[in-house]
Formats: sequence, C-alpha cells, structure tokens
Amino acid sequence: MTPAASDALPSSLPRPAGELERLQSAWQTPAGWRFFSSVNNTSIGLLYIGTALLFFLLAGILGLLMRAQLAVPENTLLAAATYNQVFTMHGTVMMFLFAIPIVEAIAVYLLPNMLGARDLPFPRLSAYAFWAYAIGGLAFFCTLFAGLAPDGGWFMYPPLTGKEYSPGLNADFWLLGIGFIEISAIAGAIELIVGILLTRAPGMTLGRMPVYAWAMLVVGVMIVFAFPAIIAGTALLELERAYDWPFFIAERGGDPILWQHLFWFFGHPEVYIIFLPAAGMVSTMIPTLAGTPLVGRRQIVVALVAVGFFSFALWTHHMFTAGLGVLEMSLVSAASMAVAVPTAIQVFAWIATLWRGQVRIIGPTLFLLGFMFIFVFGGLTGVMVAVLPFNWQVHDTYFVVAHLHYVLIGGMVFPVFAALYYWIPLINGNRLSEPVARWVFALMFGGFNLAFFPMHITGLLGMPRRVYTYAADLGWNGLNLASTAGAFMFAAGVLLFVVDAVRTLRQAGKQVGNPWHAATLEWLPSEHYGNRSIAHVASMEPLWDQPQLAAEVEAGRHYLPGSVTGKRETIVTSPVAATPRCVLILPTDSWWPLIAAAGTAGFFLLLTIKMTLAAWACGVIAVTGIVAWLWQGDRPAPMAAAKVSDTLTLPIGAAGAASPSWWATIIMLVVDATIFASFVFAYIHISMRLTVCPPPNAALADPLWPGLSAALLLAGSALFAVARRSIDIGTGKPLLPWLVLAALACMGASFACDFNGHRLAGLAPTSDAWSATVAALLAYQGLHMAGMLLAALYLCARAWRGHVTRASRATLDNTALMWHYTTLQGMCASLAIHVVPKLMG
Amino acid sequence: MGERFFRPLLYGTLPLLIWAAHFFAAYVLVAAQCGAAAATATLPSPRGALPAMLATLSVLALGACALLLWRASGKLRGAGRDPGLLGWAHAGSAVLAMLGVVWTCVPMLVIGGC
Repeated sequence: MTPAASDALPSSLPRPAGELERLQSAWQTPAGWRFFSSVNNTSIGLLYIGTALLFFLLAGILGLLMRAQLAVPENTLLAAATYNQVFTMHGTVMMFLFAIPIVEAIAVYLLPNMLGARDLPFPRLSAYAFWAYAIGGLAFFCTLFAGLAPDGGWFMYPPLTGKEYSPGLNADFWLLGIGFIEISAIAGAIELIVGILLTRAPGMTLGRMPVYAWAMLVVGVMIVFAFPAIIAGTALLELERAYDWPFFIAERGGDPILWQHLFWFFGHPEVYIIFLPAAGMVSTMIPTLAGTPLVGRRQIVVALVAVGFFSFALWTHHMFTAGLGVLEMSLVSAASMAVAVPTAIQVFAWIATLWRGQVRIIGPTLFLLGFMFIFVFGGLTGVMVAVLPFNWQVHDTYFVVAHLHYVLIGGMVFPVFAALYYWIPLINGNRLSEPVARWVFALMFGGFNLAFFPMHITGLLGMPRRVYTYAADLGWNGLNLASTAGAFMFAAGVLLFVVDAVRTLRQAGKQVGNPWHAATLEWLPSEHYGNRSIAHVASMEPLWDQPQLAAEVEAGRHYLPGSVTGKRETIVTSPVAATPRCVLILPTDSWWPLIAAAGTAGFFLLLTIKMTLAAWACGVIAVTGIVAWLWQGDRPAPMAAAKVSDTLTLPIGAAGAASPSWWATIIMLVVDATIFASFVFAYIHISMRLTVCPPPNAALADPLWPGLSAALLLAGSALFAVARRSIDIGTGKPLLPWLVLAALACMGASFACDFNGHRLAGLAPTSDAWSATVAALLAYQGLHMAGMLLAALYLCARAWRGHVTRASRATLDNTALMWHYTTLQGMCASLAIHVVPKLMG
Repeated sequence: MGERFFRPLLYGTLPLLIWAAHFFAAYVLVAAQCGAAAATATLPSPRGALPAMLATLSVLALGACALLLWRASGKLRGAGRDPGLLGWAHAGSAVLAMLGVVWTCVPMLVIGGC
C-alpha cells in the first residue's frame, strides 16, 4: 500500500489514551466458573465445537460396538434389542448432535473474525442455542444407559415407531429430544444469516465475501426451509403417540408415507446442509495451501446456491421402494443427477486451484486430498443409487450404508479434520504436530476405506442393513471382519488426533500470526473483542492484497478502534455493498441464556417421562429466563450517534428493516410459515387419499365461524397497527397497552370462533386422520395465540415501565410482525381447510 | 442507506426459482393426477390431459430459462468491465436452471403418462 493510501486510513494516530483499555474492559471474558455465563462467540464457539466433537466420539464408540457385534457371524456380544438402540443412537447422534452442530459451531467461532465483526448480532441467542443443545443432547444420550434410547432407526419410520409397535418411551425421547434440538439449530441459523448479511466489515461486498461465508449463508437459508418439515413431522408423530391422533395409521385414514415425505424433505437437504459448510471450508483452505486464488470463485458461489436449490428436489429418492408413481420417482431421479453438476463444478475448481498453485503437503492438505477421493467416490455411488432399478436392488442393503458413509465421512468429517488442522492455531498459536498428522491421516484414510469399501460388496451380496447378526454360510464373514478391522483402525486415528489436540492446546500460548499465509480476515490479530479496529476491506483476498492490514488494524487505524459507549459494539453494514449503517450495541455476558436453555431442555425431557408438573415448572423457568434476558435489551442508547473513524459518524441502533432484530424476526416467521405449510401439506396429503372428503362421520365447520374468526383477526391486526402508529406520532404512549390488549381480545375471540365452529361440526381428532390434521392446524393456530398472549403481556409491561419509545421500539415492531403473521396464518388455515374438500368434490 | 437487497437477490436466483416452480408443479401435477384419489374424485382435470399439461408447463419453463440465459449472455458480452458477481450469478444460475429443467423433462418424454 502506498503512503498516500495509508494516510487515507479511516482512523488516524495517535489513538487516545485509555481507548484500548476501555475496549478490553467491555469485552473481558469472565474467569472461573463465571466463564459459563459468557456469550462471546469465541467462548461459545469453542464450547460448541468441543461438545460436538464429544458427541462424535460417543457416537463413534457406538459405531465400534456395532462393528464388534458384526465382526463374526452369530455373535452374541449385543442382544438384538440393544443393537437396535445402538444403531439408532449412532445415526441419530452423528446426524443431529455432531454433524449439524459442528458446522454451526465452527461458523459461530470463525465467522465473526472472518467477516471482521466483533461478534455475531445476537450473542445471547448463540449461547441459548449452544446450552439447549448441550444439555438436551447429553440427557438424550444418557437414555442409552437406562435402556430408554430410541430403537426405530435414525429416521424413525412409522408404523414401527407408532404406539402399537413401540409402546415404550424410547421413540418419545427421539421425537421430543430431536425436535427440540432442531429448534436450537434453527436459532443458530438465524444468527448466522443475519450476522453474515449485516455485520460484515465495511467494504466487504457480497462479491468479496469469503466463499465459506457464502456457504454458511446458503446453509442458513436451507436450514430455515428444511428443518421445519421435521419439526412438523415429529409434532404429528408425538401427537399420534400421546393423544391417539392417527396421522400415520393406515386403518384410520392415515398414511405412514406422510412421515417419509416430511422426514426426507428435511433429511435430504440435510445432507447438503452438512456438506456445503465443508465445501466452503475447502474453498477457503485450498487457495491458502496452494498459494493461489481460488479458480472459478464466482462459479463456485453460483454452484453453492444451485446445490441449495436442487437439494430440495431429492427428498423422495430415499423413498424409491415406498410405492410412489414411476413418473414421480423419475422426476426425482433426474434431479438427483442434476445436483451432481454444481457439485462437480466445485470439485473441478478445487482441482484446478491445486493444479495452478504450489501445494504444500501438510496436515490439512492430506485431509483435503482424502476428502476429494472419498467424496467423489461417494458421489459416484450416489448417482448409481439415483438410478431406479439399481436403487430397488440395493435398497436397505449395506451398499447404501457404504454410500452414505462415503458421502458423509468423506464430504464432511475429512474436511472438518482438515479445518481443525488449519484453524486450531487460532486458539493459542500452536500448530498440531505434522509427523503425527501423517499417522492420523494414514490411519483414518486407510481405516475408512478398509471399513466401508467392503460394505459395497456385502451389500451387493445381499446383506441387509440393521441386522444384528448373520448366518455363517452367507459369504459375508471375511468382508465383515475387514470392515470391523477398518473401523478400529479409523478409531485409532481419531484417538491419536485427540491426544495430539490435547497436547497442543495444553501448550503455552504464543502469537497466532498468519502461519499458513492465508488471505482471510480471521488471521488478523485478535482478542476477546475481535480485532482492535474493524478493517476496511478492498479485495477478495484482503491479507494478500493489503499486506499492511494486520499492523493497521492492530494499531487502531481502521473503524471503531475503541468502545464509544463503553459497551460491546459492532458495526452494522448494508447487506450487499457492506456500507456502514449504524453501530449495534451487543448484549453482555449473562446467566439467563443458560437458565432459559436448561429450563427448555428440562421441559421437553421431563414431559417425555410424564413428569408433567416438573416439566411445566421447567417451562416457567425457561420463559422467565427468556423474558429476563430480553427485558435488559431494546433500551435507548446512551448517545444518539458514535464517531467510528475520523470522518464517519454513525447512528447507534436502528429501527425497522435496518435493524438486525427485524431481519431475525422475518426469518423466524419464514420458519414458522414453513412449519405451517408442512401441516397444510399433511392435511392435503391425507385428504387426497380419501374417496369422500370430509370422510364419513366428519364435517366441515359452518363457514360463519371461520368468517367471523377472520374478521376478528383482521380487527386485531388493525388495532395493533394503530398501537404502532401511536408510537410513531409520539402521542399515544399511555394508549398503547390498551390498544394491544384490545387486539389480544380480538385474537382470543377469533380462536374461540374457530374452536366453536369445529366443536359444533363434531371434530373428533382420534376418529380419523383427516379430522386429526384439521385439529393439528387448529392446535398450531392455538399455539400462536398462546405465544401472542405472552408477547402482548410482555409488550404491555414494557410500555407501562416506559421502555417502549420511538428510540426503543424493536419489541413493538417485532411483535407487530408476529401479530400480522398470526392473522395471516389463521386465515390461510381456515381457507385451506375449506377449499381442499371443495377441490376434492 | 436505501440499498436494494431483494431485487438483486431475485435477479441472481430467478432462473433457479423457475426451475423450482417447474419441478414442484410437475411433481404435484403428477402426484395429483396419478394418485388413487384421481381415479375416484372430481379433480380439476382428467388423467388423459396430464401429458399436455406437463408439456405446456415445460415449454413455459424452458422458454423462460432460455430468455433469461439469452439476456444474461448478452449482458456478459456487452459488459465493458467486469460484470461482477451478480452478472455471473444470473448467467450461471440460468445455465444450471436450464439444465435442470431439461433433465426434468427427460422422464416426461420417456414415460409419457402415469
């Protein structure tokens, strides 16, 4: 950089005395046991990564148990029932408690620094998501020790998991535990999307944003649209089990295939939700290790987005033997092949980058090369199983087990290990041992292929998955023994890695620096507060193109070199051009997220074991915790504006579409709408199976009632709009709570109308599946009424305490969004319930 | 301030949205027309009309993708300077969406009906 350009840096020297100390003080991480109240992304990110890796080890041990059982024919190490629990927990824990959390965890840890932000916009939400996952996940895992672990396979197909064939609590633990952990994953996704869009360093346009951030943005959006389906599915199956609402019982008009649709509409995108972050990491690491910019960077971004789209069209390729129509299956088969194209674009771009550069064969490189070999192999068998006749032959055999492990371990575990080798120096400046890395890689790569390649053959020889033993004369003995040997070899590699990681992390800390000569911002000098000043980014490879950047940032020569308000702050930038918009005051450390998470986990887990009173006590603790945490926020800033550089002054805080909380609310409502759409889909699916709709002994409510309900919902929304307007014009503060309460009365009355209409029509959810789906739609609207009741009372309390003003109106604006959404949802539910039978004739 | 977000978002992803609309419309149509209920209930159209409906849908989707691809390639050729990520995104997603729609059409041509 030329001296002239250097002189034009945002902040000049010398920096004021005490500026750095003030910044350090605001971001100080609590020591001792108070560390667990920390909400900073660095603390939470490390806890999150550690917990996810713990689950990887625990699920890996279960995998070893399975392999030990299958090492020889007619083995009696595990009983059949125990084996069922072990393979179910292996799959469930790997998918839900390791694979998804680890990619979110790495993002929580890395992204703020990579984007140049001091933290993500909702650190307490990150903390809540982590603690809910950690507490709930560990409790869920412990069900194994009580013989209560789920045993219906990780995708929990009914009727096997219905009450008739799974009468114990095992399935309930899966349904409530996993449903609740998915909510935690969605919270993490909302945090990541808003963080990526609104807290990038000034100048980091979408075109300059690191590919890893692009991958996480696509993944966040995919989570928003995919995970609601499984939440709706688990809710329906749990309602069936708890209250005998027969959604999936064929004899009463239900359909087990409905579960498969809902599960795989989540389950297939999930494969890409796991793979794309890994692909993003690979696209970040390869240019560094090859010492050259990524080939086809823009094409890779487009490919990431395209994979995100295409992945939603593949859900029924897990259902090719479920009796769907030939043309339906063929459409999905074609989409399964189409998704290979954008995936291949990325693979070719990585190969081209390696080809063009000077590759250093070190720890991360080994795992990246291993990833490419294994993942491409898994992708090829993926195209094979997308071919219908082949799929029918190998369905539910060990060929599929081999394929999915090649895709998931190759596509995600190997890149994660590469990432650990690459980014562990960020923690204390120490690198993992290179000689040990070669051993770890050799054991893991060799062990993996020895374990899983023979499974292709055992599958082709007809060995079904999930059998706990097999006869000695089937020709599978040698192959199974080889698989078991490979699995233990792989585990030895993982163990060696753990030993080396512990050794490395126990070493004395040293200067992190930029050990790989990377181009991305996470390698800038960093402390608890992130970077001393927030960099102005001018290229796609800032650390390569701005060689003085680290020194400038550390000297406080870029944006926001201190804490203006004495609190934790970051800069909010515009989503496309990353133009500075305002300063966001971030919440500080607090116990409330942990308390709320413990209450939430307690509520779901105790409800599962029918300790209803204790469960509701935990529910109250959860709500209290959330209210207490929110109550401290949304207050007027201590000053209206903050000078973030020599020439730039930004407002503190923002309202409406410029506010991160507005974006978060909108995304949350998209999640909500997708859950609702899943319930509507269930209603349509069940209706389409009927010859007469509504079925005999069921009837639609008189149209008078939904009509009245819609009118009341609209009146409630209008009152809420007036309440919001009263704050806009600054004259209606005393009026606001009363208008909100009047709106609440309208909403309550509307629900009473809906309920009464269905009551008069004789709605009996236990009688048939169609009635159950109508009741589910009604119940979901009722859940929103309960939520709006809490939100309205909270808003009124804030208004009465004088916390709702033009300068602190996020609570009002966000509640208004939720309110209008509830109105819209209520009307859509009534419309759907009445229109579908008309279409069915 | 005043920066547009949703318009460029739509511009960059419109071809893929067309692919999604085509795929899901085709799937729903096939599921509705070929399902058990279609044989007994009064649905909007009989099974015999399915190939024509799918063909119409596919021609519309292919036409829209081709138009977007033509416009995007024109912009890329005409851009005096770097068209930026958005220009490439529009063109790239148009190519992939076109490919996706063509691929979806193949089973329709081969299988023909339910």
